[in-house]
Order: sequence, then C-alpha cells, then structure tokens
Amino acid sequence: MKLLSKTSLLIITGSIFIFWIGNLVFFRITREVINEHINNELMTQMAGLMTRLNQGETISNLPGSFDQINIIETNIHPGQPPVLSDTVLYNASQQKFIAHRALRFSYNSDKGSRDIIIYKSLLSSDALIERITLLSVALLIVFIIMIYILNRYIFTNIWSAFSNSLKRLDVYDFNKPGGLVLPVSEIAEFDRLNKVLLEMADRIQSDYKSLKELTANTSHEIQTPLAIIRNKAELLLQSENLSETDLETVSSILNTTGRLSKLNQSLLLIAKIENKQFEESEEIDLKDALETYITNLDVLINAGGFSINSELDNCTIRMNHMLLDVLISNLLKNAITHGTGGSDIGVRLKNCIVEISNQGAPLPFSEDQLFKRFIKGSGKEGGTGIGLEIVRKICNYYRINVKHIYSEGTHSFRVDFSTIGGLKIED
Amino acid sequence: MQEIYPYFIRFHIIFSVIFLITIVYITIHYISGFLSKREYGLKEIRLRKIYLTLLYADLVIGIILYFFLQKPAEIMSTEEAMNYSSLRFWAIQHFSNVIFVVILCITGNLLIKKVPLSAKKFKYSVFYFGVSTIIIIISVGLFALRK
Repeated sequence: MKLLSKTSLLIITGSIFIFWIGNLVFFRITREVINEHINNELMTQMAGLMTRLNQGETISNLPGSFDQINIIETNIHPGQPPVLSDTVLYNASQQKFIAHRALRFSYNSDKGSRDIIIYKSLLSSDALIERITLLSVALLIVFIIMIYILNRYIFTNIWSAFSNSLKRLDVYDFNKPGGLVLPVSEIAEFDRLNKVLLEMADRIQSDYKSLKELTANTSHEIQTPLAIIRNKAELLLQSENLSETDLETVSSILNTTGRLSKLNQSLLLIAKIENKQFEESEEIDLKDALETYITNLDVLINAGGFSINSELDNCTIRMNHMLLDVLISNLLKNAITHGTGGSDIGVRLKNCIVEISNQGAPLPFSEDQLFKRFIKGSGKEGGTGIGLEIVRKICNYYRINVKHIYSEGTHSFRVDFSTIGGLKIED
Repeated sequence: MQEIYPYFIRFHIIFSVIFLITIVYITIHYISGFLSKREYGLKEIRLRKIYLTLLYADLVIGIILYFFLQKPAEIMSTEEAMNYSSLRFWAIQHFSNVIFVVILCITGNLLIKKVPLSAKKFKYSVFYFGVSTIIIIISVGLFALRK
C-alpha cells in the first residue's frame, strides 16, 4: 500500500470518529438548549396568563404568543403543578399534524377550577435541529473530500524529493558510468537522507571496483604461476632419466595443477556472476544449444559407456550465451561424473523446461546441501565441487527455478527457462 | 404516498433485523479469523461485500423513510404523539449514525483491499466492521429502549 493511501485513509478514519462524537454532543446540546428555551417561554406565558386572569380579564380575550390555548372545565386537578409534554395538533392551514410542546396548568377562580393547556409549535425548532444535524453530516462528507484532496496535494509536493530519490536509486547501476545523483530537497530530513545515500553509494561503488580489480588481479596472478608449474611439469615428464615413482609424482603435480586452475576459473566465474558482469544477453535456440552440448561431450559420454536419451521440443530463451554454456555443461558433466556407467542419460526439453537425468545411488547428504560449494557425493575424481554452486548462481541471477528430484534410482535436475523464454512457433 | 408508510416501516424493521443478524455473524467471523490467524480468503471478501451491500440498502431505505415518508398523525397512538418530537429526533440521529457507519465502512473497505497481509486484513476488518456493528447495535438498541 502506498504511504499516501494509508495516511489519507487513517486521517479520514480519525476524522469520522471526531465528527461523529462531535455530532452526537452538538445534537444533544442544541436540543437541550432549544427545549429549555421553549419550556421557559411557555412558563413565562403561563405566568403572564395567571396575572391577567387574576386582574379579572376573561380567558377568551387573552392575547399571547402561544399558538393555541385549550381550557378544560375540571374539578379533578385543583392545585396541580404545571406539566410539560409533547403532542401533535392538526394545522388546518397546512392541512397536516404538527408537533407541539404543551404546558398544562390549573387555575382556580370563583367560577371553579379550570385546566388550561397552552401550546407552542415545534415546527421551526425541530426544523432547525434537523437542519443542523444534516448539515454537520454534509459537512463531514465535504471535509473528508477536502482532506483527501489536500492530503494528496500536500503529500505529493512535500514527498516529491523522496519519490525522485527513490526512482533514481531504483535505476542506479554500479556497473554503469557516472555516479548516483540525487536532487537537493528543501526538507532537512530528506536532504540528510540523500546525503547519507550518496555517501553510502560512493562507498559501495568504491568497494565494488576494488573487489572487481582484486578478483581480476588475483585470477591473473594465480593463472601465470599455475601455467609455469604446468609447463615445467610437462617438461619434466618428457625427461628420459625419471624413475616410475618420479613419473607418478610429476603426473600427480600436473593433475592437481589442472584442478587448481579449473577451481580458480570457477571461483572467478562465481565472483563475476555475483558482480553482475554478464549483462549482455541474446536470443538462443535452446534445442540447438542442447544438441551442440551433447555433441561436444560425445567423447566423455562414450568413454563412460552412456547412451543419451533425448526428447527436445522448440524453445527460444534470452540470456548470456556463456552462462548458458556453463549451466548446461555443468549439469551434463555432473550426470556423466555421477551416473552409473553404461546407463542412460536423459536430456528432455518440454515447455522450456530442461530436465537432465542420470541413474545413480541416493544422495549421501541432505537435499539442501546439494547446491552448496565443496559438497561432493561420490569419491570420483575430477570435479571441483562447485559445479552445482555455479548452476545455482546462474539460475538465481536469471531468477529461474532449478530443482533436484530423486525417484526410483534416477537423479533429475529440472531447470525452468519459461520465465526468460517462450515456445518457438514454427511456420 | 403516506399510505404505504406502515408497510414500508414494517419492511424496514424486518430488513434491519436480518441486517443486524448478518453483520453480527460477519463481525464474529472476522474476530475468529483474527484470533485464529487464518488466511483472508474468498469467503471473507464475499462477507465484506455482503456487509456493504446490506448497509447501502439500509441507507437507501432510511433515506426514503426519513425524507419521503413520515408517520401520518392519523395512525399515531397517544403515547406516540406525546413522544413525536423525541421519535423524530431519534430518527435523525439514527439516520446520521448510519451515514457515519457507511463512510467508516467505505474507508475500511479501501484500506482492507490495499493491505496485502491476511493478519492486517483481519485486523482492519475487525476494527472497521466491528465498530460499525457496535454503532448500529447502540443506535437500534437506543430505539428499543425508548420504545
């Protein structure tokens, strides 16, 4: 949820409660005040009536600001205290019943006891309270709309510096030339945030450059002495006066140097993937690529007595050619290295999902250890122990799913390329 | 038009009772979902829509009743005539309460729709629809007490 939406909705929620409570209190107070005013008016009129009646005026001639007067001849309630009540009276001119406030009081004279009821119309006061209440509700709706518009306008303006910084950070790439540039803001906190971000980006870029240089230099510096050792060992191997033990020792040096060289190249490749140094990508026909890899590894496949069982559909993907080469080669080499000699190696491509399978014993370690570096299942020589780690790194880099399945003596690695490719439609 | 008032008020009362039972059930459902920390699924979304639809319908009935239909004095009992003013005030207060509840539920609905997490969806559902239910119960309860 956007910050603007959340703040607007929470402010509106708060406002609803404030207005609702305010409306309740305001309604009660207004009603009490108006009722009290009408009651006081009726009591004043009652006092005026009593005075005039005591002065000898007849009831029929009494003027008053009350709306109606009823006189009931009675002997039942002499000395009864005045009683206020609500009632409705028919208004002939408006042809409808109208709410009235009534005051009933007793008057004793020589002619006997009488109950007098004076009425005051509540039409105007009721209408006033109704209008006030409805207006406060209408005011709430207008207020909420205003809050929403104002909040949106103010928020968009004030937070524009933050949004701009966020957009620039989103597209910022350490690999590309030119440092991070963030706009200057008049809001002190945003300005401070931008400064901190700029310092952090500078530090990260500098560390990134140093790491890249270190990786490249170390790799280069290690490769040269390794090449020298390898050359010297090869020369020594050609020497005539070597005993059998010496020959075995020199061969061992050559093999170990070869493995060390491969390990160095693999670690360098992992560092390059982590540093996102494989930006270039191209459209690759996965079916063609798989057929080429199988042909390239023909010697190794035949040497192990394996037979390839392939079912390849069409699929075009977009990725770095070198990384695809490493990914598929590593999975095929893994199948050749760990597969049971003389068995089938399955290569299947369906719906842009590549599945490479080989027969073999169950894993001697837990499934989650499989893609970790230097975890080796069999004691077979030749592997560096980081082939599957490289597969995982490449898959993570392209956000493609890779999983291992073991069922009925068959190990399968399933790589889902559908996120970076699609089916090739043939004409 | 006033002659349809008795039928309409009866319909309003029956509708309000069904509405009240439904919203109490929906509120309890949301509270149980919040406490049991389950996923906010299709059922909860449907219940939210039912709550809002019934609320809008109740508001429309209330508007018709308040602005276009008033109890004819001819069919008023003496007791009702004595309390005519109070009843009229109760009606306007009840009507304004429903307006507040509608705005509250619309705000809550927007917030719930935008929140991605189930726990938060339940939390906001309990708050917005729970408070709305309480306001409606108090509003109707005050009428019952007044009667």
